[in-house]
Amino acid sequence: MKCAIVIVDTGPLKTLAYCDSLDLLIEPGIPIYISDMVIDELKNGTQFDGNVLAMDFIEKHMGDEIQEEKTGVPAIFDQLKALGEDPGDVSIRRVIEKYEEETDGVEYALLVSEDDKLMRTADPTGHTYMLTTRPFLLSLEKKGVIDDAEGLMIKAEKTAIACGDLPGRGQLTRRKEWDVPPGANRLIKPF
Amino acid sequence: MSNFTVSIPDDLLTDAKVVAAKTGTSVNAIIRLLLDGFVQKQRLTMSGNFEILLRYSLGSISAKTAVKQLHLEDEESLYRLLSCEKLPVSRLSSEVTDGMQKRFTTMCDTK
Repeated sequence: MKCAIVIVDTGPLKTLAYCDSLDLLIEPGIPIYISDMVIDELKNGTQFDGNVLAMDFIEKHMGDEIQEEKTGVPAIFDQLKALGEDPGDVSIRRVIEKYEEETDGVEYALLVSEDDKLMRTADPTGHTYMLTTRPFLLSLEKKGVIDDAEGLMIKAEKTAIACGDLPGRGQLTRRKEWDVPPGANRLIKPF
Repeated sequence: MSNFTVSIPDDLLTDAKVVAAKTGTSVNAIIRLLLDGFVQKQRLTMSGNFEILLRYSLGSISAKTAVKQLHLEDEESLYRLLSCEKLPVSRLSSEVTDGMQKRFTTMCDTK
């Protein structure tokens, strides 16, 4: 049976980056597809250390274990924002529609998402289903690849907060890259 | 007084022990104090809306359902309400998490 992990959200990549465990993505030994929207968001959010680490990882494995999933959304990003649409949501819907059409009962497509936010965006059925970071790590824990999945999640959260990428436990959701003011970009030197 | 066992993440327990030592009390006393305050507050003020928020926070219902039941426009509003009530952001329920984990494990085993 063919199967694949399709990453449609920056969240899992950033979480794994912040707990220094990005290599776990290729541990299951199945192909990984990352949507162009995710890559675009990571490239535009270099003010966050997690984005930089994730992009380094992607560039290292691109063409081998990792392939880019073209949705065409980055090209119409501004138009979608002007229409009040979330470009991330649109790219997810496009990926799901594509895999619903192409799997044809043969191939599984996995969509790795950070939390249950994707549930509101789309409701994949059949050969496509949602997988969030926690059960992904729990699965690896069960296989004996890692010792403590929950510990990694906590480590990722603490590191993200320390890096200014999460507002803190129990607060609002992680900020979108395009909502962060340019002043937060550490690559821009004030003097 | 009854005794019961509770599972707490290691890091949280370590942090709690530090707080307890600093304040000259015990983790047991902190849990009892917080639980008593929580129950007292809910007994007095538990409204239908708070109950929905609490159920979402505990992972009993999805964010989509909570938004619909609270007649909110989006999830960001839901997170703001949670923050106001000092409730933690929800995680997926253990049933959903277990289901995802089992399906992923099966998929990897049969590849």
